[in-house]
Amino acid sequence: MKKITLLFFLLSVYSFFSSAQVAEVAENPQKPYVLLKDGSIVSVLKPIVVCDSVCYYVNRYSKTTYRKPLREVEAFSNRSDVRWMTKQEFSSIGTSPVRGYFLSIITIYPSGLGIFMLIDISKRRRIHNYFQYSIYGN
Amino acid sequence: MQLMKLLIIVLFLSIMDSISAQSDWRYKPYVVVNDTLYENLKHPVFIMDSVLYIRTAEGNVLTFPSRDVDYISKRCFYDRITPQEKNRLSRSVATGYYLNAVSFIGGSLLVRENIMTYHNYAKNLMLNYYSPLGAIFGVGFIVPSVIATYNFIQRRRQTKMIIESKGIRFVK
Repeated sequence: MKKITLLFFLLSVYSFFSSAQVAEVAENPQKPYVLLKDGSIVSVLKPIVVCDSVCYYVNRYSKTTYRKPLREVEAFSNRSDVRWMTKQEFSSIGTSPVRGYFLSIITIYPSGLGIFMLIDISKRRRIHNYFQYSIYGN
Repeated sequence: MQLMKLLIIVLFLSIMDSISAQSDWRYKPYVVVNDTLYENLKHPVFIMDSVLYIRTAEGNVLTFPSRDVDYISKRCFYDRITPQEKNRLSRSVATGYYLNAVSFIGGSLLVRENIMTYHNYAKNLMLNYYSPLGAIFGVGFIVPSVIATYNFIQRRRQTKMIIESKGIRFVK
């Protein structure tokens, strides 16, 4: 009986803190985010790509890629690393394979250069996925 | 000889003064579009796809067709973005920033070492040979890294202006 009471207590405490966390996220969305015209705020991952009046982003929580016309977008948060791209550059990144993982891993130590290379590669990989999504969908 | 030097200096100063009076260096960046003056502009001012992009002192981004532009002042340091440079706007710069930082720090250390060496040589009369090669190398590392970092920042600002010109805001 004591165990059940304890379990009930722990679950209720967990539930209380989870609901507080959800409310906090709704009030202060985690940066970077996209503010849409309908008032919804979507926390996203860097980078956001703007190409040809269309905006591409990945939802931070569901990891789903979205494609929105710019007329539906109200604002971007500061430091959201929005990339404006020409169609040519977007397709060139989207169609060529992303390379450099090996080089970045071997240069992590001792200089630390590899960490920055990995940041660039991961962003390039995401832009590559945006292009694939624009062509084939999910 | 002294009189000659004085005359040259006076001549130089008067030329510089007249150049300064005739030019628009003394005014803050401004452009004239369709006989309308837009002043106190923020950097960067640039032309891309025959469109002039400017940011006013209030932070609003304005665009004008380049055929309507009458004058761009020198302090705008305006940039014309070619199709090749347009593709560069979207590149990732984390590795570039790292290399620039390393180059800047390395160059600064070289210059510092060289200045210390120079002081040591200046104190010791026996050592009468001093080579400024290290300092030149140091400056050679510092200047390109500063220019590259400045270009990265300008590219980021240009991208932001292009997006804002499409009616999208940036919020805190």
